[in-house]
Amino acid sequence: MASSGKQYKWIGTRPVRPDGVDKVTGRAKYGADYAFPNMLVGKVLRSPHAHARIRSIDTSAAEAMPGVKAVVTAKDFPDQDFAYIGPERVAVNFYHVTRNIMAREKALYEGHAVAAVAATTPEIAEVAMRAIKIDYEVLPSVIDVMEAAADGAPLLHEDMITRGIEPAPTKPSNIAKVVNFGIGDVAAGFAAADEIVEMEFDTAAVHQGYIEPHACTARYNEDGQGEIWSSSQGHFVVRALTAKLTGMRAADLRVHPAEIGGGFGGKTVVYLEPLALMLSKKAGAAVRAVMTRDEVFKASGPTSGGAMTVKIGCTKDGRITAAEGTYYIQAGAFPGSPVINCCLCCFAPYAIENQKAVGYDVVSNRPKAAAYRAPGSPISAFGVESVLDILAKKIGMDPLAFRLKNAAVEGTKTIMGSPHPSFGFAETVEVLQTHAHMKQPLGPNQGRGVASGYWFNGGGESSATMHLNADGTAVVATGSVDVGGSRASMALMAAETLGIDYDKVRAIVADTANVGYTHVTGGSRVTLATGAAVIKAADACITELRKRAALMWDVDVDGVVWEDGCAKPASTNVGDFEPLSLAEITAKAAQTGGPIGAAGQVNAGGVSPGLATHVVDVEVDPETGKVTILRYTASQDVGRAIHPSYVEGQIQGGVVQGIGWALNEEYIYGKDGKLQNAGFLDYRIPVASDVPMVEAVMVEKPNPNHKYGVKGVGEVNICPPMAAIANAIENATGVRMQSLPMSPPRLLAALDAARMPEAAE
Amino acid sequence: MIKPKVRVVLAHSLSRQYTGGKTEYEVEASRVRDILRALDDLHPGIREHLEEETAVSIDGMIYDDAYLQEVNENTEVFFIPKLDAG
Repeated sequence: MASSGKQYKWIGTRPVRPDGVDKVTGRAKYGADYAFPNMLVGKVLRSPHAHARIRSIDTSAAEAMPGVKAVVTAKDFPDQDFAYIGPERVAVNFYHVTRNIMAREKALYEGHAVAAVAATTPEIAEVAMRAIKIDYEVLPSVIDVMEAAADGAPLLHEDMITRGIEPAPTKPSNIAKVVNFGIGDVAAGFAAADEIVEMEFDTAAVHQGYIEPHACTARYNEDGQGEIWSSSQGHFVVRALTAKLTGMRAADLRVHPAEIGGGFGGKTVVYLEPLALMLSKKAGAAVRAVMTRDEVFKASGPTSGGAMTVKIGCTKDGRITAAEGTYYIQAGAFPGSPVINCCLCCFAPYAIENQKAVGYDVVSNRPKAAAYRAPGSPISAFGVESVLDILAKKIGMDPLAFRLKNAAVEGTKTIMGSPHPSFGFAETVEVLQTHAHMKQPLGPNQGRGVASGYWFNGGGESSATMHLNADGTAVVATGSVDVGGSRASMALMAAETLGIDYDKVRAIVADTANVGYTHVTGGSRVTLATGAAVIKAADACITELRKRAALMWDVDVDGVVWEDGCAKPASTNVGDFEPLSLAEITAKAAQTGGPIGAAGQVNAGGVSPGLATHVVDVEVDPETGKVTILRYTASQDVGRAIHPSYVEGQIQGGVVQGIGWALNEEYIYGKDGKLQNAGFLDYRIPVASDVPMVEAVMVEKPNPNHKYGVKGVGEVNICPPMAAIANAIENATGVRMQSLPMSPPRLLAALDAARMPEAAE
Repeated sequence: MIKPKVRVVLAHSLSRQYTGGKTEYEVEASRVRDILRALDDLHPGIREHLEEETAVSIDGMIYDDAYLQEVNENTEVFFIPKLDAG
């Protein structure tokens, strides 16, 4: 690890995870683990068609069955206004959200929910679903993003006019939105280039692949209050969305965070929660709903696939003069792909005076896309980092040196025109240039590839409360679901700030009634933003501890300072007092004013982005097209690693998911628009035997805007692998892969075409 | 009190939508709140959009909630699409 130098007592240590025992003993409760007396089973009936108008739904036979306690359809949910709410990049339109959780006029993808049943047993619920009569008018469907964007494609929303074009088009289309970003003069930049490469690429939609399916239990009480226990990345967002979709007030709905068996962005939205709550309301009993794996694939959001054209020009000495990208990104059945992220991230690691990006948000008959680890950025990185590699070859320059020569630094203009903040990109390249990995010899059919990536990282709203106990221990409650070790990092920052031992701090995740609003665990925001809330609460507790010490010493509070976990006289003028430890002060809390505690609430800014550079060695089997990952080294600007083991785990996890995206993962649809590989046997995510030990190299360039230098670390690591592996494959075989996944059949076909071009024609 | 003149830049996507393409301004301000007021005087209604839909980059540091952030005559303030959690 490249160290940032500053010494702390707890920050940067690797204590045992506080939730570990519960998890390894099976005691931890996940979304499907909650049970209540007379609890019912909730099941969702889903469309068998990729695109169909719903003429009518008859639930009467199902409702009449013994053991069936409730049936709901779209008519049980209030309709919503058509309005895009919130910042454009993540705007929510509840008109669409309510139609995604339960189809109304049309079913827009295979697996789209059309009704839900609550029954006393799963078997009765299944029989009841078969008794629901739905009259469908089956419509032509479209899956591929470019086919969906073309004139004459079957329209999912017959009245959808593309936003972002002036004047607005008069004809509807499946292009929901066009976005443009740019700085400088791209034409002049290309005119100044000695070499220009322009190529097309496409990426497959891939699922987040969390092992725990969506699951929740909901109970609607007679007094109009509701409670939900669910596995999500943000129980406050579950509350906000569910309340809106069911017509409840936020204060009447309490959401409890279950442990989470993986999310990676895919559990930042709701699917089952509003349905289970509405079933509970009608049935008068708690309802538990759990998706099958088939449902997870067919009905919950993967990340988008995309098609793109990337054009980059450079001088002979390796200076990039212009870059341009055009991205068509799948949104699924409703608008809202991460196309803006594709545009804003694509060239962000580099200092390019003239750059332009155009993005198209395209709907098709697929499940609505959801966030997945740096949503959008890995897609455009695949094209951009592939083209950079080709350019480096053309001018005879080492690919790492090419990247370093063009590396953006703090102050470099982004594609939005604003300057970059603290920016550790060059350092991630430099640390690899001298890494032992680069000196390892390669054998036959082996190749080495490099690539880089960028992610904004996030800040935003978070809340924490801190309570100090009479024995000198502390409880820190936050609203952040612990996805990647936030209990430990919150406890570490609390211990460091208070000056007490880590094992005296207990960090917990509180429900929506017990701590203030906290945005999702996503966007690599929690350690920075929720950490800032914890630090704020701890600082407020220290202020109170100083007051209590002043009372105990009978001096003015300004005469008391807090150092090393103790109250001390600010100077000898204050008096000759022995330091008072936190425990000594809290032991006297009852006599000095009562319990000591504080809340910290922030809308955290001062975010610095994540940068990563990866190097990978592969071996390609020329007979089968199978790619074996031989060695993988991933460097990343991590700000300051609060708990280095968790940071390394994030880097390794992102790399492994990227390897899956690169080599195997894809949704395979039939001509009927139905998904043919909705299970882990046919949708192949990497397993342990597919990957070597991934070496994580942490570059510490602390964020100057955070007390402990935190930058988000969870996402940027998934951006480089696809291009790094494609670049390695080309170096091994001479074949340039422009489509993901680079699976054995596809690579073998490309190898065969290269070996026998005439045979492939 | 005389306030410093601050350079303010809107992202192109915002300027197309709200200012007829004008992207750069020089306004008197000591805090971001002053900038929002000044821009709203020039383009009535823009303040609400900027508050709802943009983040503020102050010399490269990005804030979602920047009302009270101080600025001076050497400060560059950019209004950019809000970078909410992904």
